[in-house]
Amino acid sequence: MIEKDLINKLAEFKKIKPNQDWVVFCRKNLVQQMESDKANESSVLTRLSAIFKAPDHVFGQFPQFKLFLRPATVLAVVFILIFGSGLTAVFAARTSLPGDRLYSVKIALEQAQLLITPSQEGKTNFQSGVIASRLQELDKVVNAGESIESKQPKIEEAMNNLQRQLLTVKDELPKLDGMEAKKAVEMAKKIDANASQAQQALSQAKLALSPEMKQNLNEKINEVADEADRTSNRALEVMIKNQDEGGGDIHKEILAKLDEKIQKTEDIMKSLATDKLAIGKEFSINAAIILDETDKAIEQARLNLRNDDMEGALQTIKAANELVKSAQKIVEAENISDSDKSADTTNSGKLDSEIPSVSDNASSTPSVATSTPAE
Amino acid sequence: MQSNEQKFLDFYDKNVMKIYRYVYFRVGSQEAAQDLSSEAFTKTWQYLINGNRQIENLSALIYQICRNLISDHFRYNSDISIPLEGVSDNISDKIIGESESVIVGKAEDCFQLDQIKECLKLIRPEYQELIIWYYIDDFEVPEIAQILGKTEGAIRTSLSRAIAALRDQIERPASDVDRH
Repeated sequence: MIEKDLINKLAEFKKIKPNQDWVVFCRKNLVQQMESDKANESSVLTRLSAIFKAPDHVFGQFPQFKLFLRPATVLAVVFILIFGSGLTAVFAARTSLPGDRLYSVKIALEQAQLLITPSQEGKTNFQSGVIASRLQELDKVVNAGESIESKQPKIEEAMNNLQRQLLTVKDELPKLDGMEAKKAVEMAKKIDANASQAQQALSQAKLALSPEMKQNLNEKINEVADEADRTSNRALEVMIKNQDEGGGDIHKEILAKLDEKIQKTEDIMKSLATDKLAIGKEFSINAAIILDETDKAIEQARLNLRNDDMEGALQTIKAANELVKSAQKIVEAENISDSDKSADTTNSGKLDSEIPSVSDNASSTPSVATSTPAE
Repeated sequence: MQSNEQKFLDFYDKNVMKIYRYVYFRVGSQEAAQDLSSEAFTKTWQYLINGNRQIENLSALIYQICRNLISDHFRYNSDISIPLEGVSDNISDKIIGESESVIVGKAEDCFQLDQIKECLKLIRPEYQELIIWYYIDDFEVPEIAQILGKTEGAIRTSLSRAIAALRDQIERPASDVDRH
């Protein structure tokens, strides 16, 4: 290949873009991180000025008070909070929920507790507990008897916090490699269980929401569920790596989990086919090709399992999941487009007074990006 | 939103695609690229606010953070196998919206692009970076020199070596391919 051809080919890679949903999510995450940092800083400053009886803006004016965001000083400030303002405020913060005034203090207290936990095992255990805490919060805000306007932002915040915690825990998993194999496996199993609980909690949340909120939050729920799946996969990687010294029936447990994941992907494929049949349509060539490749990937994963190649099976399952998600997006886009067309056809032959109310699919389903996994 | 936050978000909006592409071509996985890119932005922000610093060259900082994250990624996933993303890239990105009749032609192009993508991962990391920045993300030589802290002359020399290395890797017979 001559260099000029190669350079022209390289230019084609400019078309590779990240998934737009991910870009938006990542930005939202950053904004929340910035707001959380600001809230921590201002709640610290507020408490300090109350303790020292000085106006907030006095402390805010001095840049050196940014030192209070550093780990050691966060700890010192937490002690001041506890002993300066009493335990009442601290206990109140511990039971607060997303949207409450003291919720940012609750997060700050968790961060302080994490900082003083010395061992990696302790940190992972603590992080696992934080996920459980996020799940409880989500359950409470979903089931609170409030109006949609008041409830929806709190549910979104709860889901964003859960997603962030899953991300944090997933990024910590590689650090388990430095641990004794048995402990690493135990920690990874815990995280995998957390991720499964998160997926269940999200499914239950979906069922508990009103149709309007379900529609508004559907994309977010799917995003967080994907994050939980990725966390579970990373935990499985640790378990597979350490299975020889992991002890017990870890080998069987891993096989069972991998089989469960394959089954889940197959179920999604079947439900896509069922939905298409129900509306009397066939898959487009694009969707059919992708589903065909998914089918082959699933077969490959099962073969890997039979050959006891668990790592290979997991990688293939991950690829199959990406493919089936692409297929889902294409099918959703096609369904919306078909509904729009049939609504137009129905309307064109009728007098204004005879136009029926537009179906839910046509009018209210959010538009789905037809572009697929970024590349 | 105060000015530092807004400045950083503007930086994010302008650079997220480039950072994603840089990480994607280095690690070869969309999922890993998303995770690592997201972490790079978060870590860069944390670095700025924890030290209360003004950084002149934010691009240099974030790319350095990306490099560290990529090193850690390979260290903790040293036996990661190449994912099937080449297949899904072909099908989902290149074929969507095309009629059936052009699929065969597109498939050949896709195969070459996949081959280039895989060979890119096999050359030296320094060369990978230069190719991604210059030929894919349209960085100018002075920009690259500023990120790497080198002279423009050194960058031009390295660029021609990088593209030659990639070409040689592509032309190597399959039996000689040495995957790391």
